[in-house]
Amino acid sequence: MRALEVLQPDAVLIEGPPDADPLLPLLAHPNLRPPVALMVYSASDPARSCFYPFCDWSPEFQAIRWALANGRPVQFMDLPQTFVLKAENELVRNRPGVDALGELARAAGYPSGDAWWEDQVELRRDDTELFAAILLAMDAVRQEFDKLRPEDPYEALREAHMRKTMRAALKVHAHVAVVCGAFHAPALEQLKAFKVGQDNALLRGLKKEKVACTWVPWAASRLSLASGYGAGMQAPAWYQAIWESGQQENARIPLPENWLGQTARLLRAQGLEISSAHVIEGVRLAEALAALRGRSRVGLEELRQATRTVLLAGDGRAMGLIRQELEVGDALGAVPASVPTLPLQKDVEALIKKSSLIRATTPQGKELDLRTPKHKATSLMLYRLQRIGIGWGECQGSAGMGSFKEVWSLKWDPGYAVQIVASSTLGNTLQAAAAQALVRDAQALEHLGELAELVDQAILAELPTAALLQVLDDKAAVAADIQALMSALPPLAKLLRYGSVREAPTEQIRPVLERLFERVVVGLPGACVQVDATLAGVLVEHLDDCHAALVLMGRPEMQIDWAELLLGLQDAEEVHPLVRGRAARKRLEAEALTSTGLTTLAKQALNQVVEPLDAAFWLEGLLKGSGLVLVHQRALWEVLDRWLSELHPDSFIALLPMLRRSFSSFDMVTRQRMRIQLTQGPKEQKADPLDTERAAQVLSVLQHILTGTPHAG
Amino acid sequence: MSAPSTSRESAAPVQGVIRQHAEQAFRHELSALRDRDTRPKPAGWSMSPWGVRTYLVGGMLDDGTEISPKYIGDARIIEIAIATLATSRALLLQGVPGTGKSWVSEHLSAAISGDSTLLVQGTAGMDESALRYGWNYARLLADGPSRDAMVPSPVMRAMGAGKIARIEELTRIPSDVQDALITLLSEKTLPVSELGEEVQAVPGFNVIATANDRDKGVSELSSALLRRFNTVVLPTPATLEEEVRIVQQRVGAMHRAMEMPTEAPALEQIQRVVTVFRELRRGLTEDGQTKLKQPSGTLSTAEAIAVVEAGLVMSASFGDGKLSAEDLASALTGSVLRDPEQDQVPWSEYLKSVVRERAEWKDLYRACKRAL
Repeated sequence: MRALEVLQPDAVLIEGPPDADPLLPLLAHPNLRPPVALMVYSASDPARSCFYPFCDWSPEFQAIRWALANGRPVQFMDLPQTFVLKAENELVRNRPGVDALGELARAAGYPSGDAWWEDQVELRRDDTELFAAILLAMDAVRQEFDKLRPEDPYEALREAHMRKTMRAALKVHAHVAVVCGAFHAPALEQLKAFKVGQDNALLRGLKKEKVACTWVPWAASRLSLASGYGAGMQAPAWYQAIWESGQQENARIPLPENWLGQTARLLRAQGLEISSAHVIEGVRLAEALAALRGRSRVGLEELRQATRTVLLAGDGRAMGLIRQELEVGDALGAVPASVPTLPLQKDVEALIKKSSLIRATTPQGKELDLRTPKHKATSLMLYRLQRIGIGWGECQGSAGMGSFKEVWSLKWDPGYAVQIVASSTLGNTLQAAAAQALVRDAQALEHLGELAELVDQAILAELPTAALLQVLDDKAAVAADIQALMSALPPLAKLLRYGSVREAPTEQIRPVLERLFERVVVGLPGACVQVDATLAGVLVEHLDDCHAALVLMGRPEMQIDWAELLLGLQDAEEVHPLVRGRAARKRLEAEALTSTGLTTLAKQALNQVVEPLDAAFWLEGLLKGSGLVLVHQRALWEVLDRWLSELHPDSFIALLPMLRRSFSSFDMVTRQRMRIQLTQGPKEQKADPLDTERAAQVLSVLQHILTGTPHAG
Repeated sequence: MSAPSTSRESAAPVQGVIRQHAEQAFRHELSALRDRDTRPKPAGWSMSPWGVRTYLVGGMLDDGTEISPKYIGDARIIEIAIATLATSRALLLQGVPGTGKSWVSEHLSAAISGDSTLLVQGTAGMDESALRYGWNYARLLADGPSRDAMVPSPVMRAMGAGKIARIEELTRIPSDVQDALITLLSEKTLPVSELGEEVQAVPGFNVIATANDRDKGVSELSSALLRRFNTVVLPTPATLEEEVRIVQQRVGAMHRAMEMPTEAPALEQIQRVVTVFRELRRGLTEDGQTKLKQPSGTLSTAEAIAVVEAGLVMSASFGDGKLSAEDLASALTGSVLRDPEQDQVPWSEYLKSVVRERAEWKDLYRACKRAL
């Protein structure tokens, strides 16, 4: 800014896409509030797009505003996106990664490029010789890089176009200011060193594509992500604070005090005891650190370290919160109503209007009756918005899949506007974008159970599930983890059985489910061998869920396979006893196991030859959840009784906690009945063999009492 | 500035002791740094903060004197510690056992005050006199309360001399005794109510305390006391290379001190010990491929150093003087199996699944199997 005031150029050139030149004047609009982003997208396919974020303190933004305020012509000079989007695949992909600033910073002993830049440029007040110095430094860096890295055709094209624009501008104006990334400066500064013809030849013959541009609101949290061009900014709010403190030359509160003061307020709001003395000592430490490191001003790194060392007493846990709330911040941009909107924005806008929902930032409740078309459409919209990351509505529950009522809780977040824009790369309409997001999410998900849940979500949003099911099927085919396979089975079975108010595509689901089921049947017995108790416990839970799902579906051919599987599990010696016990229980429930069969099994599992621990596991598997079987199966009761009474006392004590765990899962009534059975059961007193020695002692005492004569001996 | 004059010539070399103080062992480095130091010194410091930094993290002076690094790791942590002391704030070094808290504290004191001996070892049984002053009761009875009858604590002596007092294991000191530090740190005076006097601290006085954040049953610091400290947490070494360097340096020093007839410890052996410690500490192999059960011990760098030292003694006394897997195995097993019952499983699993699988570790596997 100061440089522009001094130079007073006739025209200003900005590193940015010339496609958006007509949109530049909008930056001076009073209703435009940074951060905003320039979005350039293919007119035929907005999913291919590119964002250029601008914030208050970005030099490009300030230079444009200066030029607009002072009536100087301003235009973008980078390679137009009309070429870039067309040739995206060949040019932009697989480019050599270069972190010039990072290299320079490391050479100067800074941890990262950001820290170096902050110290040398952003925090500096005296900037007269700064630009020349940057140019020198970058020149050196680039010479090194040009030696090391292969030729980058994309950068060459960009710089050729920049030079071309500069030449054209210089023909009209005497003084032209160029605002560009420091990296490009050496290639632009000596304009005469490059041949006009060579540059033109490079640019000739590039293919074009029709593009459209717009300004969209942006959020600080998005500035910190790498997107479009350039790297992400680590701490947007910090740079904003530097910029603001630079604006007020004699700021009342210096930056470190201000920053740590804000940190203290934030931490106090979290219930931490932070006094003013903490802030004072924090500032002193930060300043001493900066001095020790030879930095002219306190930077973000010193402030972070002072916060942790003084305010947080060494405890780094709150640093994440500080980063999120303070360094990134919640700044949200706004654009005037007159800017062109994106197709997806238009679509969502129209849908929200049709639903007559109000975008309130306080939680609201809403009940939807899916039999009315309007409510149905609203529900669909909310589910689809969820898919593109807009959790405006959260379905609090519908009474099962067959219900027509849905209760929603709604809470709008201003950041959703940005999210919609960002999602416009996915599609032109909400339906298309949500469908695209679904496929993207499906591919990212590793866990089959979660994938199956996603199928459920897709059906709720009435999005095509074919691709999703395909992904599920593919992943199931290569999945080695039996648990994952088993976790996907119940949700799919539920969908198939109940269908949905929204027409579940049962014909698509059935074959996927069948294949999944086959894999489970094949894989499960092997997966139950040589497992520890924890894993066996998990497997048993899955077994229960799958069993319930199969009963629910009621498909005979599957039932037969399942019954065989259970039989195999029940009898296989090598299978973990917990699973064996559970399989027996399930067979008993399905009336595939007779009372006699159970007694035989129990005799095998509960005897002195078997490791006591294994026996207890088997019992736990059999009894977990309900002990009624013990009450009804008299023979089982007796086997258990016998096993327990023959158990070695030490083993009994060792097993007691486990047995208690099994029995404590029974309900009151069952336990009551067991108690009755215990007290009233046949009293075949198995008396201990008489200990004649002890009996003799008692006898002699008895004799004394009864007869009054002292016993002998 | 010449060596500070104290009642005892603490910086003079002393022969025939097991372990020399930092200011004795690194006498040459300290005096070279003091001589070359042209930058401003805080009041009472024997060298500038930049000099202290160089002393701790190492470097080369312009006259060619090489300063060995005392702290290997993130130099920024040392900078925070120095900046804390330069702003006259008390410094609390925290960390799990064996991260070098006392080591850093000793060297900071040696560099700043030229004296690291004003030391209070915190124990559960200590009373206020260890932090304030006690009395020579014979004198007290004979002459009544007077300055001469007082027995000053290291803290009190540090106040009078403008030096750094070190308090080890601050959290072991009972809370009511800790409270004696509060006024001392904020007012920088020590009232002597019996005499109606006070001792005021001379510039240069400060306190470096260390505390262990792993121990259970310690006296937590009150927030009033904690507020008077800047807390720096010393992390466990970030990389394998860093940790190997630490072990190598410390073992090398010990090796010289004991005048052992062995060869310098093989880097390869140290690397293996450190790798075992790091992997078990993190519960993950260095290549990030295998999850491991973690034993109950802290498995600090200091313990790794002890293992290598023990191995050296073994090889010097019973072996061929060359550090082998055999020599290391028993110390390694002993230091991993802190709880013989509980740690048996993680250690056996680790041996079977990791050590055995590494082709060049076969000797270590066999040796450890035998030691079990």
